[in-house]
Amino acid sequence: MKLIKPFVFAVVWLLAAAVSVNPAVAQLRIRGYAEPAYSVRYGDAGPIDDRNTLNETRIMLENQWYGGQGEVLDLRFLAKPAAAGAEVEDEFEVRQASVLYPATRDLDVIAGRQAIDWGPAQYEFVNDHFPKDYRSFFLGRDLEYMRAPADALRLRWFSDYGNLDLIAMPEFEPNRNPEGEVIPVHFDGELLDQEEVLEKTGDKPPRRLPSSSPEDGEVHARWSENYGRWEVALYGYRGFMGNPAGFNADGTDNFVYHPEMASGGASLRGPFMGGIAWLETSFDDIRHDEAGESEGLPSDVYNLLVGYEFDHTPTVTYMFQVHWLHNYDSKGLREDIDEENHPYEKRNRYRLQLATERSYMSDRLTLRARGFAGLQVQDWHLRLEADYEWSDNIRVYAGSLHYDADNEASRFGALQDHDAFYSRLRYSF
Amino acid sequence: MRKFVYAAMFLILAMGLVYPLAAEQPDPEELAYESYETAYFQGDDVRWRASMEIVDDQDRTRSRVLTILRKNVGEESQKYYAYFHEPSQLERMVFLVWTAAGMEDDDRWLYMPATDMQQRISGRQKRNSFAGTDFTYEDMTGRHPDQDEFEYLGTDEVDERPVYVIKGEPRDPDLVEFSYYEMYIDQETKLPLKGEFYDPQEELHRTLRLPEFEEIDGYYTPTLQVAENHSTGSKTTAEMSNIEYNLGIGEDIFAERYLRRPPTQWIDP
Repeated sequence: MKLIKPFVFAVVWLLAAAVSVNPAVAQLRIRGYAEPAYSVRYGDAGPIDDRNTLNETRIMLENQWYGGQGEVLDLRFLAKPAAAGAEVEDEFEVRQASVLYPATRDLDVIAGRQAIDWGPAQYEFVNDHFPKDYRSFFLGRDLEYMRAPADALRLRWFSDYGNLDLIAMPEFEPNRNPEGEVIPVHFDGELLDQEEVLEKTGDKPPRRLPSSSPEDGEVHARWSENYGRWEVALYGYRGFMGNPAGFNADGTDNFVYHPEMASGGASLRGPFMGGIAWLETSFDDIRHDEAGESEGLPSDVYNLLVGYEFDHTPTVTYMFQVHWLHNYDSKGLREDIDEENHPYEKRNRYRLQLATERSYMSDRLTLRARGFAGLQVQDWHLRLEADYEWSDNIRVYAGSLHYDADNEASRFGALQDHDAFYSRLRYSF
Repeated sequence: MRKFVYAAMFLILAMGLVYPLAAEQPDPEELAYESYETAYFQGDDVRWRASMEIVDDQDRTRSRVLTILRKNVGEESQKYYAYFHEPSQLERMVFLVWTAAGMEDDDRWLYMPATDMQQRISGRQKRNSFAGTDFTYEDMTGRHPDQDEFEYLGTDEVDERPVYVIKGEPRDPDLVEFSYYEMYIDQETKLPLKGEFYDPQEELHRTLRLPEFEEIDGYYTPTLQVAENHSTGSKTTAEMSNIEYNLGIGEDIFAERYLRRPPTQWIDP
């Protein structure tokens, strides 16, 4: 079963070899950027003495080769050299190593490492079950890092009956969540760093991943078609929850895991009253818990989301979005976890998101504000950012992140002492 | 009686003189349509490369280099595909626009390579800055004449070329930032050589100029355009090159499929 990854690599290299490079469009010119970033946490520093949560330089190197028949070889590498004296090691990540091959006039095959997303919702993931990097999101990195890459084989079929996307991920890729490595998290009523969380959970692994066999892979599907000026899409998913929401409760081996999940949904997006409106819905079926009786499993969830974005003036944009989550049953969690403190016990949850963007100086300076609020669990998160295009190569970002919650176990509660200012300077080349 | 006859003859003569003059005065709406067609609708399709330089009020410069594909679809609909080559932070960015006469808002999609995300964006505001330049979306795709009421103001000269001058007032002032504009239309080619936009206080706040044009493949085509924002002191100069008409660009490339993957038969990425 371990052969699946070499198989994907073989497909990628076979496709890459098939790229008939057109000299007119082939070029070896490395592009990318270097981005030093720095942030200061001004809330309770907790157990982590260093208040700098983001003290790094990210270097992105990328290139694309275009073949004569529409093939694209896309490579993006991210390097994060460790700062002098830092305890962490150099980091290197392949963000993209994929080949797009137009197999027929109507079919594109994209194989390799790639970051994928879909669905009209903004920063709420109703039918988008691709891996997310919440660590980067909560640290104040560029939002491009929110989408975590994964190895995948993607087929895109374009026809008169709509466009069909089929994606197979041979190995499950979990979400990347803050676990106390740079952001202290609330755990069991205390503010702890990662080591202390591990101590609390004992020597046993705190989280178990699905195996790397193909049966434990993921399949994503999307069909979309335009009706008039409205785009209609249907979605399907078979895999695992991105977050480790399952809790093993046999009493001898305590660990969290990613429960099996299947999901189906639909979305609608199009022009409405001068702006863009969207509606998205899905049903997340947590497998092996059809009666809602299994202990340690979260409930099945029905999602309904509506959003609207419009330009108030040529330089001012507003967006609002409401996400309703309805839990079908939560027996397992009701019995396992303190009912009063756990937000999953709410049968209905409402998440509100408001955003505005204002540009000045012919779009040279952009100010953004985006607020997230959980109406039932009383938590919120506010992101403020100024983005200034200094020159053709240099862009400067400065912003702040704010969190508050009534309940430490809520979505933003674990981060409520992580209010921070950040700045980034991106030099593109 | 004789006085009456003389008066009647004088009146008839005067009317005879005045009428031919009045008949020669061009219809401003017709001029606006002719100018719109000449500037934005020539050929079945066209490809050009635009090199833009933006200079702000402190003489700081930024650049934008892009290839634009335009295809006419039917009588009054068009599709645009704009691929950015420079600056490096915008390289591979793509704008896709479907626009049609009589529609209040365009259909627009944007692909941002930095975030590798493609999204549908609002198309109601046609007066926002195009990619941080002093041109608006509407400058790129044209302002349809049925959105304005026109008045003929007379003749003048721009860059030593005789022009007609017409005044356009928006039928729906809430959709635009100007209260009216004056357009200077070349008498020979019908290209709009200059447009002056006035704000609600009747102050000149934007000027569009077309200082250079050439006849390419039988079509009069702008090769240099300048947009000045008098409120901010910023100015954008756009040089057009590699202009080719009627290449046979297929309508299928103006679709989401080609946002991430530029059509290399038409665009050299």
